[in-house]
Amino acid sequence: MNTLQSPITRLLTMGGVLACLCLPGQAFAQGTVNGKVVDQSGQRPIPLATVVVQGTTLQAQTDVAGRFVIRNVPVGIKVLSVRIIGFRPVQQSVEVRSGASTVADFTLEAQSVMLDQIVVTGTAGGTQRRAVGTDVSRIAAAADVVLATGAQTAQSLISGRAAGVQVQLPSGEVGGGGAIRMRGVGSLTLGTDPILFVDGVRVNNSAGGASGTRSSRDMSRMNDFKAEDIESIEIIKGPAAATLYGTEASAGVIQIITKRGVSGAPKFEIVMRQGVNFLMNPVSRLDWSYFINPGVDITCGPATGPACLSAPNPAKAGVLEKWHPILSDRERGYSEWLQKGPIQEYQMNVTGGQDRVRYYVGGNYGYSEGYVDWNWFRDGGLRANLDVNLSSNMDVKINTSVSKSNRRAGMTPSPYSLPTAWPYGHPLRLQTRGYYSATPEQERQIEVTSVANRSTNSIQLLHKPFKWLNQRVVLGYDFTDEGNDVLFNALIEGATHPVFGALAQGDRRGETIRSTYTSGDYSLTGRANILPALASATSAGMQYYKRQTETQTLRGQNFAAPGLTAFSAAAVTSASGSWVENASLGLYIQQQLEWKNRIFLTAALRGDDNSAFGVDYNAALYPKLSASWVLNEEPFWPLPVINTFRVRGAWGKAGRQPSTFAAVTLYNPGTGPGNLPVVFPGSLGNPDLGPEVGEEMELGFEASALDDRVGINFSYYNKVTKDALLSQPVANSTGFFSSKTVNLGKIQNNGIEAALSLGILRLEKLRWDFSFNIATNKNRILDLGPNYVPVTIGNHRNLVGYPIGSEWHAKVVSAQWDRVNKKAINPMCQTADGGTKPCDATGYADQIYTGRSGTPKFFGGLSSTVTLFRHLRLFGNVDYVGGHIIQYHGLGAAHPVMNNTYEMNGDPLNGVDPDPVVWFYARSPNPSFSAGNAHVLGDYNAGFARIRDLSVSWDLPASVARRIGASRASFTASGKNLWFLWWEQKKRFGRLVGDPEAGVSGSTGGVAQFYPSTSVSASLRLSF
Amino acid sequence: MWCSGQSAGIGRKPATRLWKAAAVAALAGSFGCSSLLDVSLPGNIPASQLDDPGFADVLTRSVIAEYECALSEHAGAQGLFGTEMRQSGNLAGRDHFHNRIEGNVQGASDCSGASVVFGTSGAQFIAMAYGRDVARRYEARTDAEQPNRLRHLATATIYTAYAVTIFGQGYCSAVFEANGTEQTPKQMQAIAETWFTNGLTAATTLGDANLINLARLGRARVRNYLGNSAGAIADATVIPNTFSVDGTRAATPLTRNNRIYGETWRDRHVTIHPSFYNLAISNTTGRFVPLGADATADPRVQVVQPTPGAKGTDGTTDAWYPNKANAAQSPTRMASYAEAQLIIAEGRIRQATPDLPAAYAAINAARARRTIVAYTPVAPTDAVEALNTLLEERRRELFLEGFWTADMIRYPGRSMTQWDEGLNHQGQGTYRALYCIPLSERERTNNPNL
Repeated sequence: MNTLQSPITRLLTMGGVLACLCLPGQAFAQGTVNGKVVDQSGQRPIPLATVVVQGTTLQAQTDVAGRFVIRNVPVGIKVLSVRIIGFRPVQQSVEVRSGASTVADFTLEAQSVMLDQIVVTGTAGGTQRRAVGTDVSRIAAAADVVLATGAQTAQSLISGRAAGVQVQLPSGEVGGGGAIRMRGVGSLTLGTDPILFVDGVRVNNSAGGASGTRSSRDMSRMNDFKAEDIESIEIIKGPAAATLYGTEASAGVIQIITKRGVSGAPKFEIVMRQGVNFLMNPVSRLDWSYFINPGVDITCGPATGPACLSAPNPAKAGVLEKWHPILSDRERGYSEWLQKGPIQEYQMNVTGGQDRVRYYVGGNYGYSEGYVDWNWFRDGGLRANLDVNLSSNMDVKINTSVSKSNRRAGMTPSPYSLPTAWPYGHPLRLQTRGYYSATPEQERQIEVTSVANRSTNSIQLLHKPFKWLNQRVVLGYDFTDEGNDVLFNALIEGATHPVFGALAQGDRRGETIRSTYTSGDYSLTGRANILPALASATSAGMQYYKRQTETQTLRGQNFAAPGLTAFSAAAVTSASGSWVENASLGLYIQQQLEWKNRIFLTAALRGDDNSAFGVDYNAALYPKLSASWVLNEEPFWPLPVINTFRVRGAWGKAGRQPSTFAAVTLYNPGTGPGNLPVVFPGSLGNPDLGPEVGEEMELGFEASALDDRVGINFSYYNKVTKDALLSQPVANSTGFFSSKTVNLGKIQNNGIEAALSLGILRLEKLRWDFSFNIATNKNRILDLGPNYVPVTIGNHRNLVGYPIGSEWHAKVVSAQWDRVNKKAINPMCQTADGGTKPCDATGYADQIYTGRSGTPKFFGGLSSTVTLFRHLRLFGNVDYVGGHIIQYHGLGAAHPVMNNTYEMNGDPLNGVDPDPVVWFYARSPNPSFSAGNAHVLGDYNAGFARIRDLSVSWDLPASVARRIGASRASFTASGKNLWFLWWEQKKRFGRLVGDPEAGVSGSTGGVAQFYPSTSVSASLRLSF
Repeated sequence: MWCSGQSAGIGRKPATRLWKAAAVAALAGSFGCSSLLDVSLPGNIPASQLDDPGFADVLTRSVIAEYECALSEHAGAQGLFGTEMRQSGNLAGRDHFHNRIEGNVQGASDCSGASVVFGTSGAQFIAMAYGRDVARRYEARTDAEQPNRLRHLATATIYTAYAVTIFGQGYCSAVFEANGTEQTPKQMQAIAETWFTNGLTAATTLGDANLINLARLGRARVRNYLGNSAGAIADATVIPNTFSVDGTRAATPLTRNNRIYGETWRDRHVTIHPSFYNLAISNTTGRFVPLGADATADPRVQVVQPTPGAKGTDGTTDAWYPNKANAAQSPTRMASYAEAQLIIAEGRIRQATPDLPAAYAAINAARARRTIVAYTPVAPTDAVEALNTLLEERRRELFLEGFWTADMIRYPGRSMTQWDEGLNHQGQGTYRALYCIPLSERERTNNPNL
């Protein structure tokens, strides 16, 4: 048979084919493909992944459950590909059958280097990471990270997870928060905290909590934002990257992006966490105090009350005795004051919606206690984020959150606070059974509380009027109402109280701080293809920001009876207040050229004006230049084993404005004769005052190899702060007894930041991932102006050529003990040129630089995750830091003030002499060793490495989850702040004395603080 | 600055660069640029507000208040330095005079209430410089511009002059003009004399007797220091026996407390020196005798122990506190008829031909105000006895008013061994030789003209 078909036959065949294709309802050669996309590490669904049938226009996006459906797929073998930023693309072939549904599930592997990730840089629409010339650290707050680490707040998410970013742990009380430092200390007068944006609006990031205690202002408003609500955090570390943020951004920028809604049926998540806080190894961590018995019997016990009794006993004279805050209390029958403080946290969120309207709503409640029962923290909050697609080219995002927190601090005002009481303790302090100033029961009678109500709201309009033009408007309003109280309760003994004295008549200090942050941001970006290979993106924008803070303080003293605490009930009251307002206006323009999406050149200029600038200061200008080259995408790239390699570099400036009214000469109101108002000279302004400007150069590269199993990110930075703000005292004859702020100083910070990630094992049922990061910092003051008087605070100095807060002290290298006269003799001191000479008893000894300051020279972390059978994860994280010095006042004062260390007393009846060197430090009349210098005995190198987190997470079998109606369930047991692996002080003391994390406060040294508590907890996460 | 808005009353330079001007123009139209950077200042007063003539009442009162604070500080600081008082506390920083550790001599207290140590420079300089600047504001205005200009001018000028005199009492040197040159104590007294003269002129035109007497007594004081006996006597003679002006103090706020009260009675860090205990006057001769029979405790120097055996906060130094400053609101005497009489007495003793009877008459006129027995000299023609008597009278009458240190410096024949090198009475500190209070480090370091 002739196979050739006649033309008529062919025509009829074609018509039939066409008819089948065109007529609806015909089941002609089409099927459906559906499936689920999950991640490799935890089998978690991945929403918003794009699934494409190659060779067609058919595609779908996964929903919140990771599921997709593509209909009307032509039958046959088809290749499906899945793409989403952050994961390596995957392809799969499936056979599509007519009228049938074919299942195609995908498992995606996370990428080490995510070049196509969109990062927030201040322009409309964001920028691809590949185009950015600086390192932008991104922390994804995935559920397993939150659970594995027990991270509850924004700061706890950041800690240890971004190279070069250091979160200084606060006092180890619940509810605390510390300062954040990036790339060293760049200012002598301003703090180190970066500015904070949440969903594109500037928000309050100040320190919170009561002042007037030993751990003054030890909360952070950044922690009002809960980890569970956070999608990701992006950190911009230095001026080279922060140019578009202008004035205030020189210390870096943190962008918090909260979770958005995902279209699909409502998906609920509930997280419940229970645990305990406690002090690990308290007996060994809290030191013994020693004394030579003068010849008394001391009797203490609950029967004697808080005070002890003493009676003469000459037989005990000369005996070395000792006291321990825990062991002595136990021996004498007093109740334990340490406890295991409970942790309870509950979170729930729901996300869902349609393509046009998507929502995320979350709520949280938590209560926890520290290891002293009077320290507790309670908080709760709600967040709602709404995404509305108004039209094909316009979206609006509305975000609102409210939170409330209530905290009672463990630390109380000096000298009563417990971390002062135990190291300063002395057995002969009979009134307080050895504690320095107050027993734990007495300290419990002092209440230090903080309440905060906060609301953060923003609306963002994204408009794309043309394909090539993006514009964005963001309006924000952040309000914080904070109330802090320090209350000495009125006690029945009144002013005769043996410990509190007049304070026992009742003393209450309260303050309310109301802060509002109002911001408006407009930006637009236009893109054009100049040539086939050359594209251009031009951006311009304006930002306006106003901050207002009103503080009111009240004090009430002397209450008629215990129980009275209202200010109106006090016999003596006083009030004061303050108002601080600052406004900033900035404009920027940026031009970016991109060559074949591989080479990027960017130039930008931002100009700023600020209400804090002097009247004679013209606006600040901040330029930026950056370049990026994705080498591995070049045709000549010779190393396919290195699947990603990008080099980048940037130079730029950003600023920090002076304090609000430093430019203005001010007079302060006061009270004059007859209680009539007067004004007196306050501060001398500086009409030429401008911002301090950070200028930074950053070079680096990112690479991944072996199919993303190895990832490296490396940066070198060199940042110079010019026109650093200094406080320069003015001559008395001007009539002002104050300092004038001037732009005079110059400070340099340089170092490297490196992060390494390794996929050591990637087997079907066993996976091991390891990561390591390190940052170094070298800080140096380059200039302080011609008339600057070196500032000395204790042993810390600001001197040209040395780091900020460099540590200096007179160094006694040897001495002998005179048993007859019971004193140190023949002390020899180190000289500035490295020699030795007798320490002058009344003159000065050379101050020797210790080589360190309070700022670490290196820090970082390493973490390891082992995944077994895809459902069981073992996670560990170690933090380390070093190259700095801590001044632990508790240890220092124990020598000269309390005379209660073993070195000071020796054990004379057993032939052990006091340490003459220590004795000389503590007792010398030489002013080099007096006052603050005696605390050199409390200085020590403070490097340490600590197991920060250990956890085991188990994704429960689906059958178990379904029994409780859940689609997914996971359980995690975790521990935080665990064992020290290494501590530098061991060289000096042979053991761990003060906790090296207690009282880190940079250049001003550390005061006695509560040690960080250890916590263990169990969490259950359910998805519905 | 881009935006030409006002911030707290401060004007701003207009934008000068073209592209900024363009941006401003665009923004001003759409966003109301001129007000975007305005901020409010409800808690402080910008300097520009002092230009408002309507603010003069507050400004003049402020000059008085600053001087009153400085006087209280000066009385305490000089009292400690000149051993009218001594330390009874443990904090070295509280008693830098007695310890006189290098660099610790200058106390820095100002009147903001932030300090606990007697200051030698802060409050005193503020009072002088503030008064100087305010008085010159009034000088520069016309009567039409400034209501009550003459009263404000007279008051500010006279109080400024009193502040200047402080630096002629016990200081090694000082500076009068803002960032000016260094002046000796005599030069400062000369400046004070000029200012008293100007103040007197304004007060005389005004016809205010109180201000006139205040100016005259101040000028008498400085003329006495300058050795112009005739001039000092001429001014002091017209002071009526009812004249007394105090530097007021108050119980609240703390910044208005009497500083000597604060350091003694309230905080027990400082006590009266033993040389002032139990001073008495003979009931018959009026001479200086120990307290006992035929003697009455000198009412001008009433120092008591709060409780028998009381100690200071150091636990060892006996606590004796002055009734003259036994309350937070106890005033510090600023100028009085008694001082005028003692100036007359000194002038009579020091004039070329001493007139000792007139000197004793003046001394006894001052005593009569307090009903103290008149002094009968042992040797009525002995000038040495007359001078010693005069100095002892000043030591008692002007007790804790900031004069004794200057008197010891003026008459160095009297014992000043307490200012020699050594340790303080507690056996502590490094006590280098110091015979006057040096110019503050803050001035020396930050004044470009020094």
